[in-house]
Order: sequence, then C-alpha cells, then structure tokens
Amino acid sequence: MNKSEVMIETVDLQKYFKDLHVLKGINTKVTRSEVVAVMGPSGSGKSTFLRCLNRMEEPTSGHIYVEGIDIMAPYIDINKVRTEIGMVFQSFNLFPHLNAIENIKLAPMHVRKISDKEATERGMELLDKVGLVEKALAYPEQLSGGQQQRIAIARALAMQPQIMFFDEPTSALDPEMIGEVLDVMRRMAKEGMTMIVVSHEMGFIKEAAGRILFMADGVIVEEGTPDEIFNNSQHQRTQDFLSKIL
Amino acid sequence: MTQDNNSMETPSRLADVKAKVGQIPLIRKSQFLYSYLAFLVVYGIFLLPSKGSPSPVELIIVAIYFLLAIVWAAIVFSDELKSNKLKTAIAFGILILLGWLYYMYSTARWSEMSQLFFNVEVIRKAWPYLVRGFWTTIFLAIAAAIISTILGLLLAVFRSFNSPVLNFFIVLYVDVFRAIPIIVLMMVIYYAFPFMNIRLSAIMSGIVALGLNSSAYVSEIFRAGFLSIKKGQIEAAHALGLNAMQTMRLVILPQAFQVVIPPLVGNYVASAKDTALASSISIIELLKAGLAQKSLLANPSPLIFVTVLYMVMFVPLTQFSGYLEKKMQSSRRQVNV
Amino acid sequence: MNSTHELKDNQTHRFVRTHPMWFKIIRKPAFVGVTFLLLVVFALLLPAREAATPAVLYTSISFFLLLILFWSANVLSDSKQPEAVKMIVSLLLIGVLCWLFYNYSGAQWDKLADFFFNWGKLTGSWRVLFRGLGVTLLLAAISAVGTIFFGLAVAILRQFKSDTLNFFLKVYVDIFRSIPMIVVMVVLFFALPYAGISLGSIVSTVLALSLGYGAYAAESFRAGIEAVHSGQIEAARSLGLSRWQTIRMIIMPQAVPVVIPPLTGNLVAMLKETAVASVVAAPELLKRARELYTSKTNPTPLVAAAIIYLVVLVPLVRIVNMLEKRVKLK
Repeated sequence: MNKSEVMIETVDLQKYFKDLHVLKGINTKVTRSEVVAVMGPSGSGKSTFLRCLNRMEEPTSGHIYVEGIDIMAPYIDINKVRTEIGMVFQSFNLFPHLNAIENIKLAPMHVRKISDKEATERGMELLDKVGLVEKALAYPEQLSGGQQQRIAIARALAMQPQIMFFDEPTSALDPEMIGEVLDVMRRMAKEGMTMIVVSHEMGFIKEAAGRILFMADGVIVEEGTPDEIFNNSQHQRTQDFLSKIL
Repeated sequence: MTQDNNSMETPSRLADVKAKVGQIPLIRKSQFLYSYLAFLVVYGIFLLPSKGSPSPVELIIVAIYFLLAIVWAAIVFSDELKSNKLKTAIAFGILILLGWLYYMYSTARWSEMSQLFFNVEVIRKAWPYLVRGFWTTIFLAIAAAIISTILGLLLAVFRSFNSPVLNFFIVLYVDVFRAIPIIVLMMVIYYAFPFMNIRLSAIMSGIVALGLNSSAYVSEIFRAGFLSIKKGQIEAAHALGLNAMQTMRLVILPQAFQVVIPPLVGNYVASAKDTALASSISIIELLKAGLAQKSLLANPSPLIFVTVLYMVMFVPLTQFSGYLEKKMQSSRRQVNV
Repeated sequence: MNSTHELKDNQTHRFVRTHPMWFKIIRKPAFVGVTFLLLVVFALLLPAREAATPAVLYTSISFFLLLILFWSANVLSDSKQPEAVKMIVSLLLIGVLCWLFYNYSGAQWDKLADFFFNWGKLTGSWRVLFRGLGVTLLLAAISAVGTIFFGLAVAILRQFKSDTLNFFLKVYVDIFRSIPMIVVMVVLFFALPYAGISLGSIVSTVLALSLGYGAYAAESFRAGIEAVHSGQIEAARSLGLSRWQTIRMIIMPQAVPVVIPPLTGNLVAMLKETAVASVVAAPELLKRARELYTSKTNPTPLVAAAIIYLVVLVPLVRIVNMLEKRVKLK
C-alpha cells in the first residue's frame, strides 16, 4: 500500500445554498490511513464539506478527486464511487424494516453482488468487530442509540470501503453510549482506515486524529496536528472556539 | 512518493470508473439527441397522414409518432445535467405537439369551437335558469347541512350513552347510510317510496337523501369530538371548583369545537358537492339547469359555464377545508408536547 | 369528638361536585316516573293522521318527539340507573320511534310486501341486475387501475422537484378534488362530442373516475412517501445503492403499509361512485335497475339494487375503517 497515496483531494470547492455561500473555496488533501478531524462552530460548513466529498450534496463549483478520479465529471457512475466511501450519520439512519444483519447485508448483496451466505458470514464478522453479535436479529427500534450507531458503522464497513466518513457520529447519543462508539472508531483508526471525522469529541480527536481542520464561515481557518491546534494555534478564531469548548 | 515494499498495490476497484471518465453514454450525447430530434421532424413532415379523420392504420402511425416523441422527451428529462429551463420548454413542446396532433386529426370544426364552448349569447339566454339552479343548489346544501347536523348530533349524543341496544341501531344506521351511494338513496326515495304511498317531492327526496347520508358522517365526527375530551380535563376542571355547567361551557365545548369544526366543514363541503347528484331525480339544481339549457339551445356552453362555476365555488372551499384540517393537526400537536 | 371528615346533613364536602338544584330533581325516580306517565298520556292524545291540519300535526309530533328524546336522554345519561332499566328505555325509545313512523308517515303498509318484494312479476330481473353488478365491478376494476396510475404518476412526478411541474400537478389535484364527479362524467360524455371527441359511456366513466380519484390517491401516495425519512435514502445512496434500488428496497417496503389504508378508502369511495355512471348511460347496476323499474313500473328492482349495493359496500366500508383505525393506533 502506498502510504502517501492521496485518497481525497479538493481544489477550490465552492457550495452555494441559493444565495448562502456555505463553502468558500476548500483546498485540502487526505492521504491513506490519515485520520482527519473537522472541527468548527455550527454553520461553519463542516458537514456540508463532508457531504460534498461523496456528492451527497452537489458542489456548486470546484474539483473533488477521489482516488484520483474527478467525481465532478459529467455522467460519472457516482454509485460506484460511493461504494469506496463508507458514511456514518448523526441520526444513524438504519433501515427500520430490516434487522441488524439484514441492514449490513443489503448493500454488499445488491451492489457488490456477493452471495447471501458470504454476505452473512462477513456481516457476522463485522458484528463481532463492533461487539454486537448477539444483536444480529434485533430490529433498530429494539436497540439503544449506541448499538444502532455501531451497527451503522458495521453496515458501512460491509462494503469494504477505502475511506470512512463520520458526520457527528456521537452528537445524538446519550453520554454513556458515546464511549462504545468511539472505541470502535479508535480501533478502526489503529487498523489504518482512512477517516474523515466531523465531531466535537475533543478527547477522541486529541488521541486519534493525525490532522485537524478547523473550519469557520465556510473556509479552513487553520489546520495542523492536534498538538499544533490545541496548544499552539495561530489564529484568534481558533483560539476563541477552543476556549469555548474546552 | 515512496512505495511500501511489503505490500502489493492492489488494483483499485474504481479502475473502470476511472477509465470511463470523460466518456459520455450514447443516449446522453448531443449528436444522438439532435439526430433523434431530426428524425422526429422528418417523420412529422413526411410520414404523418394528412389532416382529417385518420383510418385505423394511420391512427397507429400517429400514436407511434407521439410515443417516440415522449420517449425523446423522457430521455432528456432523465438527464440530470440538462437545465430545468430546457426541460420546461420541452414539456411545453410536448403539450403543443399534443394540441397540434389533435388539431390535425380530430373531427372538430375549429372555427366553431369558441362558438360552441364559450358562446356568450347562449349563456346570456340561459342565465336566468342557471341562476335559479344555483340558488336551488345552495338551498339543497344548506337544508341538508341543517338536517344532518341535528340528526348527527342526536345520534352522537345517544351513542355516548353506551346503551348496547341503542348502539346496535345507531351503528346499523351509520353503516347503511355511509355505504349506500347517495344517488341510489335518492332514487329509492323518489321513485320507489311513492309505491308505499310515501310521496316526497323531488326536492324533499333530495334533501332527505343528502341529509341522511351526511348525518351518518356528522354523527361519527361528533362522536370523535366527544371521545377526544380526555377524562383528565373533566377531573381537573372539577378540582378547580367548576360545576358541571361551567365545565361544559369553558373546558369541554371549546376543545370539542376545535376537534369537530375542521372535519365538519369538510363534510358540509362534500355534501354541497353531492347536491349535483340531485340532477338525476329531476331537481333543477345547477348541473341539471346546465344540462337542460344545453339540450334546449343545442349548445354545450351552458354546461361548460356550469362546470367552471363548480370549480370556482369548490376549489376555494376545498382549500379552506384543507387549511382548517392542517391547523387542527398542528395545534393539537403542540398541545400533546 | 366529631371527626373533621364527617359531614353534616346540609353540608357538602368542599371537593364534591355541586350540581344545580334542577339537575338533582330530574334524576329523582319520582320525576322520571311522572314524566313517563305524562308522555304516555300525550301519546294517546296525539291526533290521528287524517284528523288534523298538517301544521298542528307536525308541531305536535315534533314536540312529542323532543320530549321523548329528552326523557330518554335523562334516563340513559344517569350513571346511577341500573343497566336493566336503561335497556328497557332504549327498547322503548326505538319502539316509539317505529310506532310514530308507522302511524304518521302515510305509508300504506299493506302495500309493502306487494311492491317491495314482488318477485313473482320479475322473472329474469335478477339476471339483469347481476349483469349490471358485473359491469359495476368491471368499471370499478378498470378505474382502480386508472386511479392508481394517475395517483402514482403524480407522486413520482413530484419527486422531480421541478417548480413548473409541481404547479401543474397542484392544479390537477386541486381541481379534481373539488369538482363533483358527476359533473366530470357529464362533461366528458355530453360536451366533448361537440369537440369531435366521442367517448363512450364506459370510457367517460373510467376516465372521470380515474382522474378524480387519482387526485385523492396522489395524496395517499404522498403520505406514504413522506413516511420514509430522508436520512434513510441518504444512507442507502451513500452505500452505493442506485436510485431504483433505493426505491425498491428501502422506500417501498416502508411506504406501502402507510399507503394501503387511505388508498383502499379512495378505491371503495370510487366503487360507490360507479352508481353515478347511470347518468351517462353506462349499463351498470343502477342503470339496469332503473330500466327495469321503468319497463315494469315496479319499485322492487330499485330496492333490490340498493340492497345489493349495501351487501357489497357495508363490509368494504367497515374494512376501510378498521385499516384506518389500526394506523391511528400506531
């Protein structure tokens, strides 16, 4: 594996919602096995930025390269690109009419076209990985928030993506369940998964993130290692934000 | 960029996506779309039969043409990258095409169309009868509303006593008058009842039928209103020292009102629409007036006018009724929070 | 020592509901009994149908009716009355209502059997009626397909989020939810021929019903689609599922249970409305019944048709009610 292979690159990424200029030119690169945390006040555009990277939001202009492919090219098969990117949402978004293992099996069977048997095997392995083997047949409504989010992570991992996106994965969880989800994420980071995480969980970010992007008002104000950002930030805006959070 | 010697570079699963970047699928290519369009134009000019009523074979040719045009439009519509303005223009184009095909192949006499359908002279002649029909409709609607409200309220009140015997008959009544089509009820009352010597005039038959049918729905609405008052409300009112009368006036009725009014208004509007059915038992309400004048003057303008009138009357009423229902839902949601 | 909780005779506990005086009086059994006797006397004194002017007759009957209703309401709403008494009162009430109708509606009851159930004269009529029922059901079946087609088309077209398209869809739905069905049928059948379009009675009916109830069905479908959270669609697309796969495996399984109750309601209402097609000469049940009535001057076919409609529709309406209640419980 090429350790410095560029997984995602954005060049002057701009996004307007009607007249609101949400992203004002984002330029950044994410390399393989990097864990990038995106922080910032609400309204800074961090979620929008993440969602543009797999075109869940349509960028207004600019370029986005995923594994070297310009995903803004016309008529590109964006579904194939999305199979390489796993996404975990703030509100879990598990399919309520399917149980846990069915949630996990759905995409591999119908998109990667693997057999039911193989999908079930892989699914159970993933459930084991997130510590929820015994809940394989449970429906989302029977599960706690933390369990649902872990299943959502397993569901995203089932597609064997090269990159994982996390959009505020713990913001909708009760405090006692945040830890179990962060544990799973920490383990993924250790195993070398490329991750982009939008979050407020300072503890996790300090420990696991290799690089932090601090965004405000649609631009990346500052970026650097956790040490640089937390202890030695160069911009007033960053310091203001950190002082409010910490 | 250093290569890690310990692992092989696995081929990316996106290799074929990468290869296809910049390639445009055939059906999206402008050349394809333009040549398809050109084909449609040529077809239109040379292959379509000439103006006039088409034979079955010619009809199939025209139908295929239209189908092909729809397919072309669908291809453009499904393309995410084409602008909305273009798609709107194409939608209008399809409508214009439809109109043009109709112009070419129907047996309509075009010069006479406006004379036929929007003839002011004819409408002026028919006007007094139409006005009378209009007031008859209003009368029917109001009479039926009054009867159904009184009957429905009575039924709901007696239903609230929870007597099994009464309930059986009330439920029977509601089932029968909700299930039977109003037009059937009208005909039985007007045509069949006289044989038992129960002779109601046409108008009375209409009012009775409309009233009976509507009362079944009204009784259910009031019943829902009664049931919607939570027991806790009554207990709370009594705990505050309100007596039975005051509780009814200040606590129960305002809430029941809120629950009952929107569906009740909806029911009155629906009942008013059903007055048009009275035309089938020779009541000269608005629809019958329009039909009669159409036959009399051999011109459909009165009927078209009546249709427009119904739209003008009922579109706002239906909108208003829907608005009331929404307001009730949202305010009750706030209460439950 | 007097306990503070003991009440003296003329005291009422602070937290007990106080009724107005008159309320207490009317509940007393003596009052109920006396008023009952008065009503019996009133009933016996009611004039016979032919003996009085219509004005006097109607006023006295209405007054009597009102008193009956108040009296029975008084008894039935009293929670202290035993169930047996209430049952007797209920039966009495029904009985009195029937008696009033029997005496004062002017009906010639001996003619009842003769003219309503006179099957002897009507050989072959049943077959005609049932053929009409067949046409009714056929009309309903075809129109059901049309209704679902138009409803689904509107719901799907709404997903394209085009402002112009949504405008036209709104116009269609608003118009066809407001205009009476009979008007649409009549216009299609009687007015269009002047424009060179001659739809038969069946086509006019099917088109009118499909367009009209399609507008209602569109609302039912919309409720179904909106029941699926957009977040799930995002999750499905982020996994790489195509739009069609998302619709098939995520949206439809969740939308269909939500759509079925109101859609069934739409279709049953549409079945009821097929009776209106008799106005535009469609050979369905009601039209056949009318033809038989005119040709044989016998009201029995009409009554029979009404009963057939009831037999078919009462169970259906009940099923629809059950479905809608089940959804509300969830």
